[in-house]
Order: sequence, then C-alpha cells, then structure tokens
Amino acid sequence: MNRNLPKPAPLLRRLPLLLLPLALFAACSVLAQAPGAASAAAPPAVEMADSLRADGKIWVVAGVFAIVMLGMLVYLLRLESKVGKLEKRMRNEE
Amino acid sequence: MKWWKYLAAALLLYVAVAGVLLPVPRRNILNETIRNLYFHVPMWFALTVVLAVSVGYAVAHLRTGKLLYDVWANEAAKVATLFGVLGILTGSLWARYTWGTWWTDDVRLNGAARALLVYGAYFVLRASLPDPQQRGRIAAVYNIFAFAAALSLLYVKPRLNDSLHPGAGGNPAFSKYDLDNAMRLVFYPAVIGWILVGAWLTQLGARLTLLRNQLDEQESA
Repeated sequence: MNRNLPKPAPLLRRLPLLLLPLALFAACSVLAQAPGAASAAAPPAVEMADSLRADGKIWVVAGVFAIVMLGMLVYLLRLESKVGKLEKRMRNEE
Repeated sequence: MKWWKYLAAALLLYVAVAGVLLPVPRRNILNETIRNLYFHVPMWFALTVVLAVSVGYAVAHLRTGKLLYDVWANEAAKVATLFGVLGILTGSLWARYTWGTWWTDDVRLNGAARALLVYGAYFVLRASLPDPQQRGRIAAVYNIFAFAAALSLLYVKPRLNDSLHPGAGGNPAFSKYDLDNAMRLVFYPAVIGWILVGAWLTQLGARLTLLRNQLDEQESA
C-alpha cells in the first residue's frame, strides 16, 4: 500500500523554496531603506511604523491579505479533509 | 509536483513580501491601501481565467460527452467562486476605509455579486440532476450562458454606467491608480501567481472527484 504514496521531496530540492522568502525579505528591506525611499519628513527619535499604522491604513492591506490567505487556507483544508476521507475508504477496502 | 506549482508558490511569496515593502505612489485617501491592488485585483483576473477554463471544459464536454470534462468544468467554477467571494470581501474591506462604506449601490459591486449568484445557480442546477450524462449536458449549456452573463456583468455593464470603482464609467481600470512601473513589478507576478494557484486548486479538486468516482464505482460493482 505504501508504494502508492508519493515520496517526499528530498530536503535539498526544497531548500531553494525555503530560502526564497528569506532572500526576498532581505532584498526588499535593503530597497525600502535606500536613501530617499520614504524619508520626506524628519525622522522622530525612535523610528517605528506608528504613524504608518495610524494614518497610512497599512492595516487595511494586512486585513485584505489575511482575507485572501484565510480563504485559500479554508479551501485547502477542505480538500485535505476530503482526501483524508478518501484515504480512509481506500484502507477499508483493502 | 510540477514546476509551475513551485513557480506559483515562489511568485506569491514574492508578492507577499515585495507587495508590502516596495515603494508605491503616494495618494490621498488611498494611502498605503493602494497596495491592495496586489491582493484584490488579481482575484478578479484569476476568476476570469478560471471561468474561461470552466466554459472551455463545458464546451469540450458538449462536443465529446466525456464526463471527465464535466468534472473539470465544475471544479473550475468552484475555484472561480472562491476567488469571487475573496474579491468581494477584500473589496468591501477596502471600500470601508476609502469610500467610507462596506457596500454601495454601485453597478460594479452589484454586478460582481450578481455574477456570483449566477454561478451559485450553476452549482444548484448541477447538483439537482442525478443522471451523470444529463447533468453534464445541462450544466455545460448553463455554464456557457453563465460565462456570457458574468463577462457582461463584470466588464461591460460597469463601463456603461457611472461608478465609484476604477475600471468603470468608461475608464480603463488603472488610470486613477497611475499603475506605475514599480507597481507593475509586483502586480503582474501577483496576477500570474494567482492564475497558477487557480489552476492548481482546480486540478486538485478534479483529481479528488475522479478518485472518489472511481471508488464509488468499485464499491457498487
């Protein structure tokens, strides 16, 4: 029965995919902090994203992104449970 | 796993990071929510492509009578509906903080809601027919009409009327946003990524349904 199950991809093959977000995050962080990227006003003493969150409505973007991700995850979880039920039926047949 | 699934994952990871961090034009009222363009609009692009795939399979089913195509048409329509629901929810949240309301009586918004209802009727109709051949044929014919209705509700009617929504009232969709080259750098990968995810979800659903049908046959035999 095990022969039907797909082999897990070796870690080495998955590694580039795992490293990708890290590399992207680093690249974008550098870009965002480049001179002139977002420094119209004089920076306050300790610069945090406070004003960004208060007036910039970035949290609306976070909400939109969360909705999209939640929707896709719910769809995936439903597929997952359907696959699980099928697998159970398969086992009962054998 | 096929290469394009890795590509889909890579593109969406890129969009998640670059979409939040890369610079965007500064606009009043919109503020940072201009970034929603990367997450809200690709839903509708992906929906349109997946619906086209669905109607393509519907036509293929009518031409050949193969039940396999009916299964694919149905799964594609399901994924398109998912994208439509997400598009409406994200649009509603965006509207709340830019237009000041969750929903307005607007051709664009109501058109999108109607298009979803048209596909809701597709699922009800298809599920109500027990005979597979009859179900496939009637669902396929309805699918063709539903696709025509959805295209006109989403893309034709809003342009003939005034609307708050960009891409309506005769305006091309992005003129107000000044979709500049920096935004294209994230927007187009997002569109491609979500279209690939749509294909991925459709394929998973179809594979699952076909497996279940096989098991049903084996058990009844």
